[in-house]
Amino acid sequence: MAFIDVRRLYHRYPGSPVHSLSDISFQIEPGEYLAVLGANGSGKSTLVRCLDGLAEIESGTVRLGGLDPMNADELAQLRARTGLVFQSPADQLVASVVEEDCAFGPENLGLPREEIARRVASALEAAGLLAERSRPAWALSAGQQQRLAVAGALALEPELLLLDEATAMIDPPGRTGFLDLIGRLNAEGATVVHVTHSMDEALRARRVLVLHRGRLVFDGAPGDLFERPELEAWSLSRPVSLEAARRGRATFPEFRPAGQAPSDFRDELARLARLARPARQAKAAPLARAAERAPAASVDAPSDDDALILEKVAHEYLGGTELSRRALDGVSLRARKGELVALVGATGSGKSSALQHGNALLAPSSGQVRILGRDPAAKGADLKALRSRAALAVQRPETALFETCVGDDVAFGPRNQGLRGKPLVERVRSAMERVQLPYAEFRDRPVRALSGGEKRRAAMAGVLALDPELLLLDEPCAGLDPAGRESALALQAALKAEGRAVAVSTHSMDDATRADRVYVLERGRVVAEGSPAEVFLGTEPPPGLERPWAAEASVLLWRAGLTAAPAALDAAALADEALAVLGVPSSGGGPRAAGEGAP
Amino acid sequence: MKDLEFFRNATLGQYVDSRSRVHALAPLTKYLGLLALAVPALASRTAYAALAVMALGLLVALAAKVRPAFLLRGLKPALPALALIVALQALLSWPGDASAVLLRLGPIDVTLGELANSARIAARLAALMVTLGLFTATASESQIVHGVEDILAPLSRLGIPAHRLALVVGIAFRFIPILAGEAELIVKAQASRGADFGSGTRNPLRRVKAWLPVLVPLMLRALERSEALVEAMEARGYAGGLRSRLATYPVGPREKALRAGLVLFTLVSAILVSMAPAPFGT
Amino acid sequence: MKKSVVRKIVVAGVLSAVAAFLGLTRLGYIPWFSGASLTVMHVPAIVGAVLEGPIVGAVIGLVFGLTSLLQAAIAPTGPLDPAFVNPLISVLPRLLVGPAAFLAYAAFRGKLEIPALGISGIVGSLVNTMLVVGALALFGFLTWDLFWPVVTANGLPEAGAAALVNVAVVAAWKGVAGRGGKASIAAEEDR
Repeated sequence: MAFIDVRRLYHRYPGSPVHSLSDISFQIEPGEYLAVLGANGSGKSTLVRCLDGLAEIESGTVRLGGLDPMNADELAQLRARTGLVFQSPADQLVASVVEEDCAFGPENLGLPREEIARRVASALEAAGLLAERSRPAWALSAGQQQRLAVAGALALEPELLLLDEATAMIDPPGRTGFLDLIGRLNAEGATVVHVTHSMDEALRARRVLVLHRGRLVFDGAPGDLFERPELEAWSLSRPVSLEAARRGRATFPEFRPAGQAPSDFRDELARLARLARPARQAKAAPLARAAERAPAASVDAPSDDDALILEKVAHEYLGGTELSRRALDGVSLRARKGELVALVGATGSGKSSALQHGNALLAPSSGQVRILGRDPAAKGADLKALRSRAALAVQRPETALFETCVGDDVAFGPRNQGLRGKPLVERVRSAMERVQLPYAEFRDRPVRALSGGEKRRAAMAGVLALDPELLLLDEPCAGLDPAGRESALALQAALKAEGRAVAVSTHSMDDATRADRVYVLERGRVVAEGSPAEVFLGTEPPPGLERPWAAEASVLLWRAGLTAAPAALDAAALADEALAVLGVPSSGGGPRAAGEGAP
Repeated sequence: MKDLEFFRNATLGQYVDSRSRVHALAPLTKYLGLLALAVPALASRTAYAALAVMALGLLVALAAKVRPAFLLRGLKPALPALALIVALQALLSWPGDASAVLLRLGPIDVTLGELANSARIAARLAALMVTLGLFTATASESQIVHGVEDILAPLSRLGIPAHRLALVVGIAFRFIPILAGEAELIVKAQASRGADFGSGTRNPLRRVKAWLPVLVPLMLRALERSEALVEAMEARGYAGGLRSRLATYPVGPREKALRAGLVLFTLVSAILVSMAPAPFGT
Repeated sequence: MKKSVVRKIVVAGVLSAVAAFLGLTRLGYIPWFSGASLTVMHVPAIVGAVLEGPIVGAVIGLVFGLTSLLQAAIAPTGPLDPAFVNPLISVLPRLLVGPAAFLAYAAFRGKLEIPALGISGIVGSLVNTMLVVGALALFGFLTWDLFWPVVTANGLPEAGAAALVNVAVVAAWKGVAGRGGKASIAAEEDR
């Protein structure tokens, strides 16, 4: 019998008319590395919970190593052999100290002290956290906390690791460390089931299950999955690497890079180029140096269109206490009406602080801020009125939802602006329609009953309902599935097109390519700025960050002498560049620059 | 705009890991030490007694390699309140006070008795603050929680689940900084939507309503996180039952003697201090 | 939601943290008129009792009481703080807030959820006020003739506040809407 055996599994939440899981069947052998993909609400998290006895099965059978999670006695044994890592790092911490938290599992098994100590040491070592063993758990970064969760699971010496969107809330560097750890553990023999909505992460697995509306619609290799036409219907997308290759294959069916790295793309293109035109290599000489210019560093003269200006702003967080630190250290940036500005940088680089200066929530310790032409530090400045026109959406804005019904919560902002009666209803209605939460359907819906994605949209509606001229969005796409992300990006583009100024912070370089202007922050300073092409296609990558995949590939093509200058920021543009190299005139007329919107 | 930085206030005292012999004591011993200082301080009837306890506490601080100045600094923010308390006590008179009148401020008499009383209250508070400051400086968060477990352990024979209560305390400790972060986020989000937290009204119920947008999501988030934590704990095999513990605090015969000594000291000093004649019939 | 002892433990811990946090950061003190403030730190005990039972409510009350004791001892800010160093004043009354609220909720739950929540908030809060003020009087910090004036002046508004918060939190948590299941904005549509 297979290690994990699921047959005809059905699950329904109490009181719900529909099944969250219908007729799911699959088997997993020991040592497999499996990814589970699906949109928000497709049932993937429910599936994980059914495997570990955290959700009740309506019908069907589930066996892990022969054990039945619905059987109380066997469940304890099952959990002793299964490690489960959840999405939210801080919500899994049980103890204050790293070592103690790691020991929680073995302590529950009632193991003797020496055994616990041994397991904890080896688990922390495997997770790379041995040096932090005596530190308070809350002081670790999110990525480290997730590794601690893995260590806590490892201390049980499990055969199976279940990861429920475990990377959703950590930044890219943390994600890489985490996934490398998982890969190592799998290589050492652990079975891994990784529920995710990141297509790139799914590529690390050797087998993928796709859930759509509670049904299993695909079970096979990742490469095969991304060839399927139903991808969009399943709310999935292709990783940039595969998308670019696929487009190339439309004209050159033999275009198949050996791997997923940008260098593989370049090698494959070079191979085909040699085959097509052996003489081409000699023409590689005139390497345009245009891309080598340093990113533009000037802030142009102020104009009426400036919605937000920060000039040499410094901000000290928790000034005067032991925990004080400089969140911002001389930041200058501007956002114009009709413009989309992206702030990128690692966690702690100051993006949130910068945005919070944008609606006068924070006041600078030094430097100047001008919001919609006004100085918030001036005497008698009406901050409340200003915040009506410059609206901030904090990170994970759904945490601030407080009314019972969706309509009421969205109405909170406009109510504070003084709106009543029909104008109030109109604002609320149009804000809700914009985020695809139809007013008629969702006005009376309890907030509690919304899915995660819907809650995020409801929170956004609450901010949009202020009808602001300047929008400050702090990581608006964090934790969203591909469909949600696309909607959010489309919304940003629409808001910009309406003449509003939009400033967003993001971890995703791919998202940043859609902006008109990019600021790269590191440790409270702007270390690079310019258009996405200037920032991502320079000879050096932006400090402290990686280039978006397509940009990296584009730069490699240029370095290999295949193109005159790197110009691609997304898959489509990259494919056009590649086709141009192979002598095919591109259909769209030249590689697309940033800001034109990805397909 | 009020100070949004909740982390400033979200701790109950600072742990200073100076690796002294006091720090190396077991949590239960530290709790006994706390009692040994707190009980006489509370029972003292004169300012002198309370100040003596405080001096004793500062001496222990020296042994614990915690600078007395550090502990005394904690008194600073409380000085205005202390002054207020002293002043109020001095102004309230009670029947039976037969001591000499020192001052007459209009209709109010300030007697020696009142002065002694207020001095005592102030000294008591100061002694308590130093004691508690010393305790939190020498016992880390997890030691405090383990101490709770050790203290309650005998009660488990009576059916009171000591380890469950200790877990409750541990979870509570661990959540406070998290709540600080959430509160900051929520306040910022609501302020960004125009909330003014009731600054414009005196109606108490209106004021409370204006704080609902912060209180409600804070508690809702707390409940949501509880759900997640319950799953995480169950997945790691916790079901409310008995479990072992990684941390141990081996107690040698010297420490056992110290414990007995502390208990004795607590009893004796409490009795002595409460028997001391109260000045001026207070 | 399955009933489980793990949930009780966690909810007790987390709501205790909320109560402590509200006290430590003074967020739980809603300024009223100069000097006095309404406190809502006892509300988590009420919410915990309503959601998870009297024992959980009692535990939260216990932790809340201890925190107020510690705070009075370490960082006193008002004239009555020395009184709260006495656990019989700061801890014992708070132990009973949760169970009282639970009883009130259980008694009225049959009628309608929201009034039951309101009543349990009021009852829990009044128990807090009356027992604390009573203890203060017992130990001589207040004279007995001040008992009812203080209870009405401070206790009634606090009870109202507690009812408001309790209803808002539990209704949102359980997804129970008021006014026949409609959002209040519905009323604006006809204005």
